[in-house]
This record gives sequence, C-alpha cells and structure tokens, in this order.
Amino acid sequence: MEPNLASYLALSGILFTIGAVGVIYKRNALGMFMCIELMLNSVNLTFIAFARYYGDTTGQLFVFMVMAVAACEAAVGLGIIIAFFRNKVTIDVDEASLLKN
Amino acid sequence: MTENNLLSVIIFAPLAGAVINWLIGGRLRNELFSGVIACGAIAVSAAVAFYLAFVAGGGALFIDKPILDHIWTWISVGGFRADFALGMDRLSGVYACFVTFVGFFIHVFATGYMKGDDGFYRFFAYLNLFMFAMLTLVLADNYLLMFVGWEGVGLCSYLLIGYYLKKNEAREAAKKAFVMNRIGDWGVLMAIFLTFTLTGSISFFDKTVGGEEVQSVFTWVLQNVTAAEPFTWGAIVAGGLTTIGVLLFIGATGKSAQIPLLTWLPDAMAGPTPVSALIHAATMVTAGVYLVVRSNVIYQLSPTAMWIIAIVGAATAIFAATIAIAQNDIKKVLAYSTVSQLGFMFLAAGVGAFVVAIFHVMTHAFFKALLFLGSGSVIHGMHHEQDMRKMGNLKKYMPITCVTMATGWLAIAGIPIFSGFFSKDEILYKTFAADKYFQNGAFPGNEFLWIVAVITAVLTAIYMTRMMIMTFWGDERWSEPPAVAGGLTHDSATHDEHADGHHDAHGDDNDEHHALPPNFKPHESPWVMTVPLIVLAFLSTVGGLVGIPYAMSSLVGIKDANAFEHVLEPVVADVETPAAVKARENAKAHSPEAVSTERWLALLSTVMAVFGIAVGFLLFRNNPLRKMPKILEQKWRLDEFYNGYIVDPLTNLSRKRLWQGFDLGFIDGAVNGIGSFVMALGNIVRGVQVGYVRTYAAFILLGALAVIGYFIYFGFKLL
Repeated sequence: MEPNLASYLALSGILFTIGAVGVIYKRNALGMFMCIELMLNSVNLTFIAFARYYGDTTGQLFVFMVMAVAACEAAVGLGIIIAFFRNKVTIDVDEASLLKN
Repeated sequence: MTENNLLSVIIFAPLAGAVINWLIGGRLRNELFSGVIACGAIAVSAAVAFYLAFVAGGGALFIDKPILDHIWTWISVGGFRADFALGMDRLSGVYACFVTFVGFFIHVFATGYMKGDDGFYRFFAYLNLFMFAMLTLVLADNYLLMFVGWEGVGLCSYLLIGYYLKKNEAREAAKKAFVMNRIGDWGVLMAIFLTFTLTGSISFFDKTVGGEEVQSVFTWVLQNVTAAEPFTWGAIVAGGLTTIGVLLFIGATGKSAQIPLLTWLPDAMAGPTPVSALIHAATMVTAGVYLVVRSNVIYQLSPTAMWIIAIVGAATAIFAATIAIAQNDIKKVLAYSTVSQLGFMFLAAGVGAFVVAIFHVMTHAFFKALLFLGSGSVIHGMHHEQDMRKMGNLKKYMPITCVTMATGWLAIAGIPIFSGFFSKDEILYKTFAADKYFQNGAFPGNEFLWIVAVITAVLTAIYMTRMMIMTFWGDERWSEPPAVAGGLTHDSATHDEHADGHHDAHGDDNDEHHALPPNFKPHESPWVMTVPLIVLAFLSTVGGLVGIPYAMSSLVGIKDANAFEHVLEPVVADVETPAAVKARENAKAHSPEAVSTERWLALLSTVMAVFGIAVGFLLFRNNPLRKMPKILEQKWRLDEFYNGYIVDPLTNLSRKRLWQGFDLGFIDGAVNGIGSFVMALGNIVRGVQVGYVRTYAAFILLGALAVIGYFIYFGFKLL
C-alpha cells in the first residue's frame, strides 16, 4: 500500500503531540530541547508531504530554512543550557523560576 | 507710497542702545558710558524722527501718503498678512516726534537722578527698551505689530516699576501694572481677531508689497460701510464695528489707566521718578489715545462706542481729580493728575474731536514731563523725601525747579498762553458743542459731560495749587522734630502706611542720606537735571501756540493759526454718513455764533482756572496741611473695593475650590486612583506568573489550539 498524504499528516501530528507534551512534562532541559527539535521536524515532515502532494518545491525549500533556523536555535539553546548549568549546577528547568510572581 | 529705510533707525537705535548697555554696560559699570549710550541712542532716534517728519520728501507731517518701511514679511498665511513694517503718517509722525523729544530729555534728566545707583546700566537698558517698544507701537503699520509694541511697553513698565527689586511695594506695583495691562490686552487681541474676520486685513495703510496690493482696514471700512451702526446697547455685542471699538477701548483703559483699570498707574509711582515721567508723559499711557485715534474710522461709525469713551473719560477725569486733591505724596498727586488728564483726552476722542485729543496728548506730554521731572528734582534735592508735608519753602533753595514747575502748574491749570489752556479749552468747547460736531449726529448728555469737565478743570487748578504751595511756599517743615510730624500723620491709618512705605521704599536706593541731619538744607539739582526742566518749561509755555483755535486767533485778525489741526486733519477720515458730512461742514464754516460761543467758553474756562487757583491759595496758603476728606485721601477706597470684591474672592476661589477642591480632590484623585487601580489589578494577575517554563509552554499550546480550533470551526471566511 502506497502511503498517502493523510498518513504522513497523521504521523506528523503524532510526532508534534509527542514533542509538545514532552516540552510541557519534561524537567530536564536537554530533554525539552530534543522535544522542541521533534516538533520542528514534524512540521518539516508536513511541508515535505504537501510539497510532494502538490508537486511544488516551495515546501521543500522551506524545510531547508527551518533546518537552518533549527541549527541556530540549537546553538543558542545549548549555550543557554550551559550557562544555566554553570549557575545552578543542574539542568532541571524548574530551578529557573525567577519570573515567579 | 514712499519707502524710506531710515524709518527703522528710529526704533532700532534705542534697541541697540538697550542691548549695548545690557551686554557691555553691565561689565564696564561706568555711569558715563551707560548714560552716553542711552541718551545717544535716543538722540539718534529723535533726529531721524524729526528729519522724516519735517524734512525728508516734504516731511511726513505735510504729505498725504505715509512714509513706509517694509523690514520683512512677518506672517503671510492665506489671506492673512502681517508685516514687520513701519509707517509714519501725520499721526504717528507727531507721536514719534514728541515721544523721542520728551524721551530724550527724560533720559538726560535720569543720568543725574540715578547717579550712584547700583543698577545704573540696567536702568538705562530698560529705559531704552521702553522707548523701542513705544516707538514700535506708534510706528507699526498694522495692528499686530502695534500689539507687539503694546506688549513691549507693558513689559518694560513692569521691569521699571519694579526696578527697586528689594522694595516690596515696587514689586507689588509692578505685578499690579502687569496684570491690569493684561486684562486690557485681552480686549485688544479680541479686537484684532474681529477686525481681521470682518475686513480681511489688519494693516493701517494701503500699500504694495512685492507686487501684492494690501488694503488697509480703514479703506475697507470706508468702502464697505456706508451707514453708522445703531446707537443701542445691543450694538456692543453684535460683532460689528461697535464691538471692535469697545474691545479696543477696553485695551485703552488698561494702558491709559481709565476706569475701571486705573489703579495701577498711581501705584506705579514706586518706580524711579524718571520712569514715572516717561510712563506719564511720553510712553505707555498715551498709547491708548493713539489706538483710539488711529482707529477713528471705526469709532466714527459706532456711536455707542464713542459715547462709552466720552462717559468713561469724563468719569475718570473727575474721579481722579477728586483723589489728587487729597494726596500728600508729591508723585501721587501728579499720578492722579495724569489719570484725570487722560480722562480729558478720552472725553475729546469720545465726542469726536480726535485732533484735539492728540493736541492734548502733546501739550500734556510737555507739562506732565516737566512736572514729573520737577518733582524728581525736588525729591532729589530733599534726599528722597516724597511726602509734601515734610517740604515747604523750597523756592528759597531750588529756584530753577520752582520757576519751571510753576510754568507746568499754570499750563495744567489752564491759564491762557500756556500750552494746557489751548488744548483743554478745545476739549471743553468740543464737548459743549458735541451736538453740532459729533460725526454720528446727536450726542445725548453732552452738556452734562461739559459740566463734569469744567468742574474737573477747577479741581485741577486747586490740587495743583495745593501741591505747589505745600512744596515751594510756607514754612520749612523738614526740620520739624519727628514727634510733631508724627502727630500730623497719625490721624489716618492709611496715611501712616504710606509714609512708612516711602521710608522703606527709599531705603534701598539712597538710604545713607535719608535720616536727615539736623542742619539739613535742600539743594538745587545739577545742570543735567535743570536743563531738561528749562527746555520742557519753555515748551509747556509756548507749545500750545501751534494749535490756537480759529475763535481765538481771529480775535487778533489771524485767520489760520491752527497749524496742528491742519497737520492732523487728514488723519480723521471722511466718513460719508449724512451726520458726519453735516458735522464737517459745521466745523469748516466758523459760523459767528459758534465762534462767539467758543470765545465765551474760553473766557469762562480762564475765569474758572483763575478761580481754582484762587481757591487753592485761599484754602492752603496759610494752612498747607489742611486736613482733606478721608475718603479722598483713601482714593475712594477703590483698591480696597477691588481687593475685597474681585481679588479676594478670586484668590479664595482659587485656593479653596480650585486648588484644595478641584486640584487636590479631583485631578490628584484621578491620577492616584488610576495608579492604585493598576496596582490592584496587577496583584490579581501576577498569580498567573508561576515561573515554570513548561507552564508557559502549555499556555502557548492551549492558545495555539484555541486559535486553530476557532478557524476550523468557523472556517477561514472571517479573516
């Protein structure tokens, strides 16, 4: 059975949900970070699926841009995690609650 | 139209003098330098004024077109045009001449009077600035620039009245003058706005600027208004010419100290005496008369406004004269005398005798400058004593001052030959005959006004005689022991305040002399002070001869001696209403009855003047300290009335209602209320900020889901 658009979208939706729930429930900063990447990649998958479906390369081009942004975000995000670790000697994000009240 | 760029020299020379004195004089602190700069600036100004008025291109006083000087285009927006431009016609020519001339002698006098004062340079800088403002006012070629000068003299009077900064009385007087003038300025501004909306112009003269024709206000009125406005109260608020006239007159009452805005002028005596002379004779107070005469076209077509001017003028004249009769401060007597004489000028303008009003302005400038400078000389000689009760027999010590002041006295009293006689007599006659010569036809109540004016003239003679006697004749009272003098002063509470005020007052400028030594002798003033007195005395004596009315010159067979009237006649525009035409014909005809009436009235007023002087001598010759009615001494309690019924309620309203009620209660309450509301709201909302990243992420997700759900449910149509 040839996989059709709906199944790609369904996979993408499942991946996105896993990522979103992971961001909300994880306390480990690295884990959250990976979940964010997962969400981004699920969106990429949607782009690719639609691009194939419509026979239009624009979606594929956007995926490159998302990947470039994701790389930048990874650099910045890891930097923040390292800085956070140096301050608190932990990467439990619940320790970063300065904004409380 | 003739252009002549020299015109701007008249106003900019005093300005330059002021700037130089302020910037350089303040460093040098050299009295000779400051004095020479200040007097030199006015001398240049006067020379140019006389050159333009009498010589250049036939002389502005003798040609029909004004000399114009377009300095720059100030405002030109749509149809509105206000140039920084000057114009000298016959009216402003006369003004420019006597303002600079009298002003020059006052400057010279001041160099003697202010000798040794700390702020010498500052004083002369202000004085020059004052002249600049007054000349701008007089020479401006439109209402707006005139208003600049108008405000300028207000500012300079404020600076100069409050010149003795450390004196509370002076500061208060300066503030009072400023505020009262502001009230009047409201009227002028409104009048200018209304003039523009009505006529589309604010210019005084027809002219061409850069190929563009500018029509003057007065030409517009002459071309578009053919009938005088109705003689009713309603005309005042109708928004026509009468409204403009009344508004302008409100400004004139402020500047020229007429009822109801008169109380600032006597208080202005707190300034140095030359300033008083300048304010009273050359600048400032005559500006109101100038404004009215300049706008005579408007007034000729609005009988209600004319009538109001005449009534207010006559009322002010007699009101101030009654006060002057009971004052003990030599300068206060003269101050109220000025108010009274200004009332005469407005009476003249009110009955349509505009030329006579200007004539009286000029003669008054001569004799009032003389009297004020004379009083300055007396005060100088008495080491800053202004109370006439402490003077007496000064003729022995100050003969020049005495003789010159005596000519001023005879001039203001209206003795024939002296200048005041001709102008005052003309005013009385024109008032008496207002029915015939009034441009708007009938003038109700003119006989009554005439009686008021005659009584005022007699009062004038009496109070001036009293002043002369108290100052120059009788016993020498300055060496009397304080107890006796105190006994004389202690009968009236207000008086004591006065006397004390003056003690304090002059403590600042020259106190080391003030405690008079036991062997004190008054001294005659130096020549810089006596020479101006002599010149002005000469002019007070003969200055009136330029305007001898027909009725008098024809007595000796001279047909046409009234040069002044011929010069100024074209200033009064020919309004073509039937009554105005008839009035002009009447005036030209010199009918035998009119001439004989005028002669009899002149004889009457001479008799009245002599009578007034005689009464003055009888009353005060042997008893110069005769007690005057208390109510007069207290100036009809007008200041108390204003304070009690206007100033205090206003202050209370401001303090109790506006400040403590409205400001503290409402405005502060609103501002603080908004603040505390935001604080309270923040306290509630801050609970949302839990500080955990995942909570925020969850909220973002929920929000995104809500938005997506919304679009899925309603479709994308709403976008």
